[in-house]
Amino acid sequence: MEILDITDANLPELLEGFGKFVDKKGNIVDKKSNEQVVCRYTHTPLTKKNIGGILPGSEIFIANTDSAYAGYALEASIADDETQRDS
Amino acid sequence: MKLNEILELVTLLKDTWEHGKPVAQKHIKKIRELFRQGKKNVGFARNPKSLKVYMELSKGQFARRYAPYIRPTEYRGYLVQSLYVKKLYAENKRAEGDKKRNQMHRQSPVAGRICNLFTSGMLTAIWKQIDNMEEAGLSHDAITGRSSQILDDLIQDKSIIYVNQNSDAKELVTMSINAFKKQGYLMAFGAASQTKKVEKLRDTLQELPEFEGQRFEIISWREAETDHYCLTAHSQAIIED
Repeated sequence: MEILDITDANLPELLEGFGKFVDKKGNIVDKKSNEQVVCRYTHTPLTKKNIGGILPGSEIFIANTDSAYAGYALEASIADDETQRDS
Repeated sequence: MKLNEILELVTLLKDTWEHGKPVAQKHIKKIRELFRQGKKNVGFARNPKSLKVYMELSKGQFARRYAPYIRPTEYRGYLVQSLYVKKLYAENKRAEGDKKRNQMHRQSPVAGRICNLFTSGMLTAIWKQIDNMEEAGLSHDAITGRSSQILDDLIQDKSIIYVNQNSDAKELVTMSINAFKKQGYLMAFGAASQTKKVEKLRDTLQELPEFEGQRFEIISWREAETDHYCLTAHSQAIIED
């Protein structure tokens, strides 16, 4: 997987492309549900300061913590194994 | 999209952002469409280096073999983080290892505890139990239930019997009987200097009616230049679930 940097500069356009935005408080919010996005692995509500990743599987948002990165990496690895077993 | 088109798109994004320019939404939406199709060619991260480290560790034998049997899923992440701490120590990057370890302790008491259990090698006993349960033909759900329960007990320090130089042989026997009655399994840990005590404990327990027909095993591993042992016993009712 090619992993591109999330920066303060490109975050707004990335979020827009994925149907999200940053509200006045700095929270990352889903446009359709108007709910704050949470990290899939740590359940941390995501803000422009703590967002760590926008990743495939299908659309996974994670916090910028080792715990979240480790959680994503392991889940992706297990999913790859299951896909290979099924094919 | 074909692979070369994806690569071109990635290059476009990189170059545009490197020059501090905005990227047209149509390109980001193409990436989103790739995600929806289940393609994993591209991702975005605040700290790509960290993510790559964990992705590499997660491809390893340990992570793929044993982590799927652990619940809740947060604990799996903690195990992979602990793998990284152990790797740093093995590479003599003590300061970095300590930093990551301390981060885990600040993250949560459970994360810190799992890190301690993992880096001390004590979780080897659980991996061995998983091997045994697989060999016995238990279902994935049954193995997950048992191994997650044992991990939980270890985290809460409910089930561990420590064999050290001050341990009284009779007390060890009593503690073992009580633990086995309560949990349906036994785990007694000792370092190399206590090998004889651990073996003697096994020999004594094997003769007791409370442990009739039980399967005993002494698991060994080496950590920080010291050999460690764990005496385990499982109720047949658990193994043959």
